[in-house]
Amino acid sequence: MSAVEYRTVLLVEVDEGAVLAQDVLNEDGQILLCRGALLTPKLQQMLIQRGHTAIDILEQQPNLTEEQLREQLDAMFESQPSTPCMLELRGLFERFHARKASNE
Amino acid sequence: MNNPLVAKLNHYLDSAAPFSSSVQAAMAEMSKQPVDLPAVCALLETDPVLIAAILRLANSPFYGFVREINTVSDAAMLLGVHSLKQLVISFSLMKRFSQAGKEGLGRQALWENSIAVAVASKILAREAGLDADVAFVAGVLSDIGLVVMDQCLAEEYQPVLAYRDRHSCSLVVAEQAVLKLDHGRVGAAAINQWGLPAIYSEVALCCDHSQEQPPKVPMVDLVHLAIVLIKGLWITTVPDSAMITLAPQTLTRLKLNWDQLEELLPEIDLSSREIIGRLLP
Repeated sequence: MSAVEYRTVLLVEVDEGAVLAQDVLNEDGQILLCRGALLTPKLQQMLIQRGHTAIDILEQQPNLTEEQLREQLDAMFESQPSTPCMLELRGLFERFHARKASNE
Repeated sequence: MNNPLVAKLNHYLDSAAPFSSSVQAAMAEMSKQPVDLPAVCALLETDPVLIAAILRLANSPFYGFVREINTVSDAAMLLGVHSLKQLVISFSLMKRFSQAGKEGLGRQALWENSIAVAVASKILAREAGLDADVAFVAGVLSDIGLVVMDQCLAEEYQPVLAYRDRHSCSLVVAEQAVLKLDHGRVGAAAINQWGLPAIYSEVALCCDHSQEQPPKVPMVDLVHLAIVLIKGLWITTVPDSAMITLAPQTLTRLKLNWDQLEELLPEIDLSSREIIGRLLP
């Protein structure tokens, strides 16, 4: 659930298709690879040749099932009164997360 | 705050000035009319870390400028002096309090959450017709009391976390039970000590609480709503993840409705993650 969903991995151990979580710059500060780029084996080799040993890649968070989503919201709203306003709020988040999961 | 811990906090706040002398001078210069922009830029340029953060944010899609902003002078011209001043306040505080706390709260998560609340506040302010730049800073400062307590009262704070877990209550309730003070009051005291505008201390003091009666300033309602939305978007892992009560009057006073919030949530979610990625790499 962290916003910065990344981990630092050794370049020799990166899985094909990993997504960069950082810009990669050359010695002059120009961007060689942008955050969000797919790390192909060719790019991986290029980075190793340029002396990089580790890199930050985005973590793919598993989508929550409908049941897990409801359980998580139940836990979050556990201490709250069931007022129309709080029920509306809960519904807002439930729809948002369900839509987001189905789009990913 | 008539409490033995207050002396310790006051001593800490006295020694923890968040603004360097050049930034203080730049902020004073930005408050004058007319503003001497070259002088402001020259003062800010003595702090490259601060400038880098401002340029990273100014070049984000959140601000939506077509051309790249490369200098602080560009930023001042395009953002305006008012916006620039709010960014200087925000980033100076983040820089000053970016070191990891001794234990407990997780400084990175606290700042991620504050930035997300700041972004949400700015977006909501646009819809509610409030000052978006002030809203951003109010969001950044909304949990500054937690950051200060994490740094100054790390040992004393451990029983608070234990109490919170034992009683399944909010941090504010646990803080009041164990320490006889809470992070809202600490944040407000810090903001006053640093000479920042009173609107920010009012927000820090009240924004965690549901507001059935109109607060002193509408910004309290706005940041409170932003906190509620950020909790529900699960953007960060904060020490106080339980939902807080939203009073229906809050939406009414801000002249916002549920349909608007439903439309804004994806923008708040995306922009928050984007800005956190830029500012807290």
